[in-house]
This record gives sequence, C-alpha cells and structure tokens, in this order.
Amino acid sequence: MKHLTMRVLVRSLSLFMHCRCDSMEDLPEEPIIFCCNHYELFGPIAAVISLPVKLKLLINDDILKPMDNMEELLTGIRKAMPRLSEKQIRRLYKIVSPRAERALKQLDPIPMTQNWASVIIEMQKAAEEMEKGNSILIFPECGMPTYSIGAVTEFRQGFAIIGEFYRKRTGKDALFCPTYIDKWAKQIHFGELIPFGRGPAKEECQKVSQKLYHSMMAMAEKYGHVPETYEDEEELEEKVRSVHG
Amino acid sequence: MPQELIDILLRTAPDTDISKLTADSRLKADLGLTSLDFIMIMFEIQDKYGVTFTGDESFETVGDVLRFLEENSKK
Repeated sequence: MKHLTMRVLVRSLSLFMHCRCDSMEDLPEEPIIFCCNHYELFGPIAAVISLPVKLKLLINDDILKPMDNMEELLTGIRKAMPRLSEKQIRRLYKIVSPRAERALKQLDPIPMTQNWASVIIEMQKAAEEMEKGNSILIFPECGMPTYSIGAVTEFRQGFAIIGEFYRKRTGKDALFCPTYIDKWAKQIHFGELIPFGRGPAKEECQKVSQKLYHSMMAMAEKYGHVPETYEDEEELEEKVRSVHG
Repeated sequence: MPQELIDILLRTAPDTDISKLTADSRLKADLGLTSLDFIMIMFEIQDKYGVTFTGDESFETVGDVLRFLEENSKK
C-alpha cells in the first residue's frame, strides 16, 4: 500500500516537477553525494523524482515535523500563486501541507538536526547508505533569501565529513557532485565531481564546501533565472547583488 | 584535563588559548569553536575514545565533554 501510494504520488508530481538531467551519462555508476540547490521546496521534490539513481535524502528535521508552522510552504504558495487571496492561500496550504509531510516521510529520509553530536551520527548513516549502494542527496546551502531567483548562498562545511566516514568504511574517495536545479527550464545540471581528498579531514571539508560553492555559483550565473512573478524589483536587485557582488 | 583531549582540541582549532582552559570554558563563546571545529572534535573523540553518540548529548562546556567521556569512554 505504501509503495502504491508513493508511486501514485510520484507520478502526479512528475507531471509538474520532473526535470531533465543534463549529462547524466558522465556521472559514475558508484554512489555519489548530490549537493543540490533548494529553489524553495521545488529542489528537494524535483531532485527526488528526477534523478535516476537510488537515493537517500538528508533533510532538515524541521521539515519533517508537523507542518503547521511551516512558513516556507506558505511563502512558496504565495509566490507561486500571487493572484490568490490570503484566505485561499491558507485553504490550499491546509490541503497541501499534510500531503507534503506524508510524502517526505515516505521517502524515509535521514533527518538532520542542529545538534552537533547528532551530525556525526547522521553523516555516519549517510556513509552506510553509500556503502549499500545508495547515492546521497543533500541541500547544504547556509541561507534561504536567494532561493527564489535561482541564486545560491554559501555552503555548510560539516556535512562533508561523510567523505571521511565513507573512506573509513570502503577505502574509497567520496565524490561530491554540484547539482544545480533550474526550476524554470525544468533541468538539472551537474558540475565537475569533487573528491574528498586525503588531507586532514577539517581541511578537506572546507575544500569540498568551497569548491561546491564556486561550482554552484558558476551554474547559478549561467542558468539562474528571474521568475516573472517577482514584483519587487528593488528587493530582487538587492538579492542578486548580494550573491553576485 | 586529559592530554589526549587537549591534543584533539589543538589539532582541530590550533589558535585555542589552552592556558585559560577550564571545565567551565564554553566551547563556542569562550573557545570560539565553529560548528566545523566541533564536528571534527566529536569525530576524533569517537575515534580515539571508542564512544558512541546518541544524538541527545548537549555539549556547552569543556566539562560537559569530560563528563560524557567519564561516563562513556571504553578506553
């Protein structure tokens, strides 16, 4: 029943959110770590239904909690459907939120918390999943303000410790894949793979994070779009400036 | 303070002023550890002391880490 529900859900979402994957054939067959931009809630859902590999999702545990307080979803509906009244938006939100919550839980993601000790456990679990043959999908951007224009913010660093755990388990170098979702063209682009090197773990985490950021920035500049529905030009320009300098 | 723990701290955050290190030192506010530093320290502690984290731990001070190690260390 669970699988049937999931299949129906994926089919329905695919109609609206499926993205073409650019140069997927260039990616290795072994499990890798897809590091993806958010584009609000579009990124996580589109990546899950579009990447044709066995995936384990790492997701902020706040998103898995009851969605009553999930301002992000409300904001997403407001932006996607600017003509709706606030009352209509709230009504739609009540319909969408429990389904979105159920869908996310059925993906059986690894929840990520803000507790530092937990991060170690979560990254170990991710490395275990890779050893089992699953690729990892993670959204390591630090901030949210530029999600809606396809820009990216700096990346966290600690998540890259997956690479150290993976090496301990398999002796192999983990590969991090910059993964840019272009919401408006419904396309997923991949940057050059970044290996977790053999240097001190802290330095390797920093290197991976910086390289990912630069690769994602390059793709954001190339493929980022401004949504037609964006009304406040000044705010938009400020956001673009803050990212692109 | 166990020398092994000091070594881990210095390897992770070499600029830490260990002359002022006490059990009450706060990891973030006093020692200035970043999230990445802390993750690395947890990683090394797990490796060196053979401890396992449950995710419920709360480490605010050096004393919290020491207490955790006393209660959980296998070495």
